[in-house]
Amino acid sequence: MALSIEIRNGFVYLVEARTTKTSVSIQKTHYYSFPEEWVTETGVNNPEGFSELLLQNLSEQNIKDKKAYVCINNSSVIYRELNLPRVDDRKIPLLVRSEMMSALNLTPDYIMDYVYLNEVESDGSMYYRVLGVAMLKSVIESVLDVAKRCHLKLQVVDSATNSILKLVQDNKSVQESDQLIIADVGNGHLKLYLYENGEYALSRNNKLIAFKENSNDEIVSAIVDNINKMVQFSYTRRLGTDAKKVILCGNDEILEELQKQVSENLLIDCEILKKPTFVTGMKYENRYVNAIGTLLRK
Amino acid sequence: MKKLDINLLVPYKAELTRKANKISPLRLYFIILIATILIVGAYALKLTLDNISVNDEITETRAYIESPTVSEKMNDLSKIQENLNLLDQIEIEATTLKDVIDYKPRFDSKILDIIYYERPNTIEFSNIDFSSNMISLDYSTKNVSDVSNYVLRLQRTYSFADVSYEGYAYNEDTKTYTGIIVCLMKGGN
Repeated sequence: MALSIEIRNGFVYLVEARTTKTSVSIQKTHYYSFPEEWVTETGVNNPEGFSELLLQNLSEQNIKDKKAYVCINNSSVIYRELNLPRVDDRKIPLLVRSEMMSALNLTPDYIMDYVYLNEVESDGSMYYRVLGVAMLKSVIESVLDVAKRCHLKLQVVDSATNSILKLVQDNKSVQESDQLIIADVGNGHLKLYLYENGEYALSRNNKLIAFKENSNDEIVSAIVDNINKMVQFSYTRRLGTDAKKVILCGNDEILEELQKQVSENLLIDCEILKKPTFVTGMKYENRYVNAIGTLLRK
Repeated sequence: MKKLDINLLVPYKAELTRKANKISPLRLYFIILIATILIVGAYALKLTLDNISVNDEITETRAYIESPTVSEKMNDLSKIQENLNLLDQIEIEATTLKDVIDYKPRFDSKILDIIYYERPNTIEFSNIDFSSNMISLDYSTKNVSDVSNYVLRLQRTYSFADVSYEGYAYNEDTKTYTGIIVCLMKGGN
């Protein structure tokens, strides 16, 4: 059994599940909100309050798992797609670090990791295309602090983009589409992922201003606008065509309305992310996609 | 093997390990200080143990030495040593005595051979006396000049320190001259 904890802006999503290398059997799910100022780009600023609230929710939900997989899904995670020469695997972490520092002007107090995406050809040479991920050391330290306070054994610190990458890896719609947008609708934030020829191309993070105060229609409208911007952007890509499909995940309450609006307004085929084949157990909810993706270990 | 997942905890822990493995100058000094203290401590401990061991050996040796059997043997040894010293002294004395004896003039057959070999046929001895390194030859002769010749011949043998005679007496009845020739013996060989 493992406990996945997704930390978003102002929300924590919990998934308790039995996991194997190829499956995730969900046992319990739960989410709760916390003051947004508790978690910033530098990590959990109020570890006492955060861990107390987490412990309270874990206790209320009778979640007793100690093996914790944490998914960070906020602006503290920096992503960058990199093309690297095909060097020895052992040298890639150093290459990723130097490329990330150079490209994003990062200081040495960032912890970096990467995931292999595919291979691309450029000027007659083949390159590894990887997704580099950077996070301030203080974020990891604060998460470790929270885990210690909650008596959790922290196993993994993952990122939302990587979770989505793993979650949709075997998705037929993603594999079969030339260009496709995955929209992860959060509370106040929208993450858009662009896939080309079944492979991850890039992602964008958009903040939905004053989300809580607005009505559902306004929110849906704002999300449709952002998806439309991504569609427009997809024209500029090498394929020269617009995105053929949009897949929605995230807040289940507005997904159906959003699907209707995207289909009608943008005239693009839109669907809600189906339950992945590797997920079993209790009723599947789209809001937990990142937490579930983190539970999958490759 | 291509990396297919992300876990930022791994590079974080790797960095912590890397940093932990790096030795700062302060830490280096601290390590040197600790190492020095440990070495000195270990050496002091070794010395203490050696001291204890030596003290034990001393105690054992003392007990052995002071045991009645050993004391008795030591006394015997002392006596033997005293005897040896005495023997050494005796040897020295004996050597000295031998030297003295060797140096002291000896009245033997060799001297007698010389005396008789050099003696003219005309001289006869009535008595030969040896006393205090001196040989007294009581003689009688019919020719008085033979005595002086004989004395001279004895002197020339260089076997004596001195050869002398002091006059003579004439016996009318026997028509012979009598007197005493004194030969002073030489010391050593």
